[in-house]
Amino acid sequence: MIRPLRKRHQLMTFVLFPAALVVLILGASQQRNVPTQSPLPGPLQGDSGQGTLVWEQAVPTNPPLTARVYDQAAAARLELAFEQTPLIADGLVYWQADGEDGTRLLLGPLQSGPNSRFFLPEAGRQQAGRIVIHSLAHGEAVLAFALPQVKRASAAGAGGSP
Amino acid sequence: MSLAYQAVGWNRQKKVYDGWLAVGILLYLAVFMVLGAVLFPSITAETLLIRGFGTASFVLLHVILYIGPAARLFPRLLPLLYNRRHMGVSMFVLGLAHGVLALIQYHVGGDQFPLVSLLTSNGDYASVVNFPFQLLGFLALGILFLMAATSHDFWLANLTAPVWKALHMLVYVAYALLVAHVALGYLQNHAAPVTTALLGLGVLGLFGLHAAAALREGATDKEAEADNGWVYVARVDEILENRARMICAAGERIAVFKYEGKVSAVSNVCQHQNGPLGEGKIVDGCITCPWHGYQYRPKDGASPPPFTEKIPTFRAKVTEGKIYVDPKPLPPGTEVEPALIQGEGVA
Repeated sequence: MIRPLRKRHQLMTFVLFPAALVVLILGASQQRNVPTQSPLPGPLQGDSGQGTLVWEQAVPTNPPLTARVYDQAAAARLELAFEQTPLIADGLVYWQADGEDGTRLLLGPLQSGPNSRFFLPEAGRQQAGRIVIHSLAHGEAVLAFALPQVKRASAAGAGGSP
Repeated sequence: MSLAYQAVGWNRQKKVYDGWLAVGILLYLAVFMVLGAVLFPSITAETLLIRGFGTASFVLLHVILYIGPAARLFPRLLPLLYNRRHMGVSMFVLGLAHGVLALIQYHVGGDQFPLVSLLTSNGDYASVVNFPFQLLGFLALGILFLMAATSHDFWLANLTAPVWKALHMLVYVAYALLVAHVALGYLQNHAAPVTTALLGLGVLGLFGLHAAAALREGATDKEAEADNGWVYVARVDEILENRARMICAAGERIAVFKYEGKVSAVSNVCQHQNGPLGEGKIVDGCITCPWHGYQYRPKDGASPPPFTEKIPTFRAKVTEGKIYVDPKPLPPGTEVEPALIQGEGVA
């Protein structure tokens, strides 16, 4: 190369490579705390509709949603049944306890179809709280509704609802 | 050498080069897709394709940027430089496939034109974690398109080599934009220590290699001083047969070749892509550029017929076993009698 171009070449490399490195370090250091997939309690796949319905509620949202809790031998199961597939591409479903603490427990990611099923943690059966669907991309809750303390099937009666 | 334009002046070397390039790209994509599907079974085929094309393009860009300084430091790697433009066009095509698929996946289906959606859907420029990183990739792709579109010798000849080289130096801007695209995009949504480390090594390696090559270049660029109108080059026995010694005089490099008991001096700058002729050698009686094989006769700096390229020549003399050059360039193609080593005459 001719000398002026060599000098410009050197200037560009000596400025842009360190600048790229700075941006990389900045990006890596500011990395947001994203829950990885492995510790997620996996959503229940397919129709695992065994168990006794102990709670059901229609949630006024678009598309309409029906939330149900089934009691099973090992654990309770939360089912979110939308009338159509919701336009929430990255929804994470949490159970949140009532009260000032408001600790959220991650139940799992919203599935791509209209129906999603999750194990409900023991705490979710023992105290009242709410179900929150959080969009990671938007950084906010896109849907929330109350989930009362759920009675066991033996107390609610077979197929019963609150 | 150029005589007439054609789409690609194919020869055996280019075919072999492109064959290996195609095999490497296909192999990378196959391994990426299979490993991705095995390690991340929940990932969709579309996402795998987007990431496969994107990473293939970015890895290839690293290879392209490594080749330049590596070939300066290790001349055995010069064959990799020969057809680097095809590697660059392949890299752009892979990047374009990544960009188009990402645009379809994330911006089609809304109520806005996809490109408008890409440019306007996120205006959080003050944030690191939510920075509109896709815009950085879009800008980089624009630069790479400009480079790919002008990569043919038609543009090289019509823009002239200095303008063409200046334009293609924008690859460093594109590279910095792509590093930011990955750092502010993928790394913000994935805990990826291996990716972060590999990218850091990639940037550091490029910087280190370019710095090493620049240090070596700096030594050659030290301006030689003239004594009574002549600049000392080297002792005759310090230059290998059919090779050159480069000096910097009057603001530009001069390549002084020793061959067949003679010495000739020409401009160090090849007319094709401004390659360093002084790092080449004399083949079949002609100075041969190490980058793409363009040839010039040592005595007049003209390409042998039917080719028409010409470079400036310089007067040279040999006195008491020492080579001197007159730093005033003669018009391109001017014939200068070579300095005889045994006779120690003035050219």
